[in-house]
Amino acid sequence: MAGQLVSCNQRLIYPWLTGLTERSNRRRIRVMHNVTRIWFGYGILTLAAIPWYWRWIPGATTLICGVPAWAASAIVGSALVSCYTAWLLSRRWPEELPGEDNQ
Amino acid sequence: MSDQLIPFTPAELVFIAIYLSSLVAIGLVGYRARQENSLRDFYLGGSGIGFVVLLLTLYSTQYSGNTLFGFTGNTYRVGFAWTVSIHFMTSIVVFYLLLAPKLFRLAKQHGFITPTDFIEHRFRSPALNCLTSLLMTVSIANFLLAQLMAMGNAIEGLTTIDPDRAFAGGVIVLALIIVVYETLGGFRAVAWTDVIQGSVLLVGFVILLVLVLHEFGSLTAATQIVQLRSPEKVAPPDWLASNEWASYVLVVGLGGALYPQAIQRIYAANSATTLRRSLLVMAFLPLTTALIAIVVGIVGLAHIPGLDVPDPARADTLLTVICRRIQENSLAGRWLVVVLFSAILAAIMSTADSVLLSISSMLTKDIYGKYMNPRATERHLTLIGKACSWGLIVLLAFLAIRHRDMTLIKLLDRKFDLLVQLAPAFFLGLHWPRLRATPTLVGICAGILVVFGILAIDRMSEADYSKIAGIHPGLYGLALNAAVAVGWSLVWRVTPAAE
Repeated sequence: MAGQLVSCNQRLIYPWLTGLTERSNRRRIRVMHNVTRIWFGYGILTLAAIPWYWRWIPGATTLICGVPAWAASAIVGSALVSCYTAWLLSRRWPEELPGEDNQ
Repeated sequence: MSDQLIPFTPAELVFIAIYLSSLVAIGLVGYRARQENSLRDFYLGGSGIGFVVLLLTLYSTQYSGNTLFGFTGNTYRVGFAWTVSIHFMTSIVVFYLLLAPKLFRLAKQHGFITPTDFIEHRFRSPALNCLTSLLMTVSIANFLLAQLMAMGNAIEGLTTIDPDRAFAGGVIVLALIIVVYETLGGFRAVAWTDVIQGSVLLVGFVILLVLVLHEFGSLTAATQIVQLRSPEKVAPPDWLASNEWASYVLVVGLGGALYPQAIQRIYAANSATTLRRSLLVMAFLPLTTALIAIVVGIVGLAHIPGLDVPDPARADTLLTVICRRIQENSLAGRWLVVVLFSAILAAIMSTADSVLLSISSMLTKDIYGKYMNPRATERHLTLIGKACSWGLIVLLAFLAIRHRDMTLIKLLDRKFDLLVQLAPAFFLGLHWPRLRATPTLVGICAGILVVFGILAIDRMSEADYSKIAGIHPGLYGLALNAAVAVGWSLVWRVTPAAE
């Protein structure tokens, strides 16, 4: 049962959520593809990071660590974009030659 | 009280002189390390550069004197709305995801040296090549001029002699240092000096944050003062400012990814893995750089009021004013300001040298080598490239000294408006095989016309049309540009071979 769940995650859920597929090349190598889902992720993160909605939220100027709440949310949003980008960049590019990461 | 730095003592000047001399020494080492007298060796450092060098050269090229002076100054003017700078600097790395993997692979397969090499390989259109080279050169030559002027301004604050002579001396001496180490070692020298300059810049930002918080107190106290005095600078953005935010993310993200000097660094990586790992770290650097500039701007706004009255452009001197305050207070502060000043020079010089090398490569390979002397040998072209760098730096240094009061802020904004017009050629050109040369060329021309049309209306009109509904003119141009390029390519019936 547990094995089936892992297999289901590897074949269906993980690739659907992330746009990333896994390919075997002696050991398992995670490969990044520029697919629509990756850019959809960026769209969602950008919409959240741009503080357009804060003018309707009370307490937008409440200070969090010396920064107004709306600006703090924008900084956190940018940090999430950085993390998402770094996570994608931690995957190999399809253009990379096998064994290049051993250089 | 003058806003300028207190003149440095001889010992402090010796420290700065040693730092500058080390750059020339690196140029010499780069000269000795050259493997052959070829364009590839001179402009891309031969077989490629590794992770640390690539990361620091990308970092120090991406973050210029404008990050230190312009970002702190703009935060002073607009308040927390400049948080957008963190977002747009991150978006440059995001757009690299679309560009870097395929471009790197093609560059290695076909031996690209300049950004236009990709355009030639993809479209085989001399007219499109010329337009791309011209557009990139014009956009970044302006940027180089701004860096030279920033060098003059930085040195001016160091001395008690006549400001005009100090400015001219600063421009000439620093430009000379750059062109000497670049002529000696080419890309290798530029990248190696970027390692020192990038490290100094990273340390400088941390020192800046520590000094400012130690000198003026916490960010919370500063924000509370700003909240009382100028609540609009703490308020969330309205719909116009939100549009401007999104516009900045797109225009700087696309334009920054298309900097010719950045594209050449993609070519110069020794492997895709090195490039990928460098970009991974770059994704986080806006949080250590732009964020610190914002904190400094807000603290300055709270504790040094009135700097932007009557002239808003004076807010760009905030960093110098802060340095002077710190210099006055302690010996340790004085020495930290010396390091900080070195970081300022590093930020300016590292961007200037990369831009100079990039322009020189495009003029030499894409214009001289292709149209003026197609039979030139690699050795001859390398020599012409070095001569180009000297000619260009003499011309721009002359312009910087002659027009030292010229306002470049709007011109600097325009570089992104122009660079983004190349986005369809690069981004779509890489990923969409049906894109054709003629529609792309016509699209770029249409985009440029829209940009200059909007700017002309802005100049003639009393109302501000520099951004319509908060959107940069470059994006309106890009919308038409992309529509023409895609629409026409879709109905294009001639086979690529015939084209």
